[in-house]
Amino acid sequence: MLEIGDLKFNSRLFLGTGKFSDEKIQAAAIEASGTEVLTFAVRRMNLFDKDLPNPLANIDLRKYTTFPNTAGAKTVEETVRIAEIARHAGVCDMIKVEIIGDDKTLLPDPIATYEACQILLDKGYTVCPYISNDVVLAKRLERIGVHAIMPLASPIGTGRGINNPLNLRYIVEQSSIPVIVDAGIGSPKDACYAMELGADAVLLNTAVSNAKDPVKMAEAMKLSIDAGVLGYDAGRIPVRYSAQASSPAEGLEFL
Amino acid sequence: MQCTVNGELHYFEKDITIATLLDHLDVDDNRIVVEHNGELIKKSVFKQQAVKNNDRLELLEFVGGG
Repeated sequence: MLEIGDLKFNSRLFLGTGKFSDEKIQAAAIEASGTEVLTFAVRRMNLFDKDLPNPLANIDLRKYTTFPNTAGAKTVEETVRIAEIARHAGVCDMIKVEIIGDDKTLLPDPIATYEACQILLDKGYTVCPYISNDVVLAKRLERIGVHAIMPLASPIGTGRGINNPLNLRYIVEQSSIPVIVDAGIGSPKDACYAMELGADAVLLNTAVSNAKDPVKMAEAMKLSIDAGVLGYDAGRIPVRYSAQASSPAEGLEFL
Repeated sequence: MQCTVNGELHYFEKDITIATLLDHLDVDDNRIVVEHNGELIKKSVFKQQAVKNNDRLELLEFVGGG
């Protein structure tokens, strides 16, 4: 059981809802993923093209924990404003604090993230910051009371998988709050690897929404995360430099 | 009177409420969050809340995102 603040989850897959080409496929992919947590963004309504599909129309949001992000915010003030909008709308069970500090890499701004987390904690939110693979920042954020840490696997939407397993492992080992690996997951092996490194959950979006078959990929992610959790709990063997035979060395005299 | 809605100027013959504005723009109020001069407005007061000359409104919604 995964616990974040007062919330409890059986599934360790958090699913983003962006970039699905089709509402029905999105709904089927959400179902296949077994997720209990869906992320959203806040945007200005497009008043001139109201025929644009509502990506959330086919989803019964009461069945899920809604996890709005602050994507698009570049400052502390913008982040707090988006969080307040989400809470006002009643869709904010937790808030993903995402403050992009660099437009090219979409890497998060650590200083603004820290400041925004402090304010949102004071306002009573369940706060989950998106961060780079920075062990010290993770520690500092935990110290001020954030409810989970969301280090990236690799830059958003790149599908490059886990770029820095060592630092991710450091974060997991020193953290006593949940670690959710977020962004850059490309394939089921990446999600499995995150869990094998000891992560508590994975948040992914593009890997499913842009897959050739999003519904199949959603199920594959679910299975790979389950496999990763089992593998981590089972305890993997150490990596060795030299070969060690699996078959006995004795009883070969007949050769 | 004129007001700014999502960055665009809109003109009306008389003062209106948020509810009449949404109606005029043909917007489903179940989908949106309204910010009126920087303040978040509860849906229960859309019918009473007057929109005055030079007011600024943001009509916001939740969209897919990761």
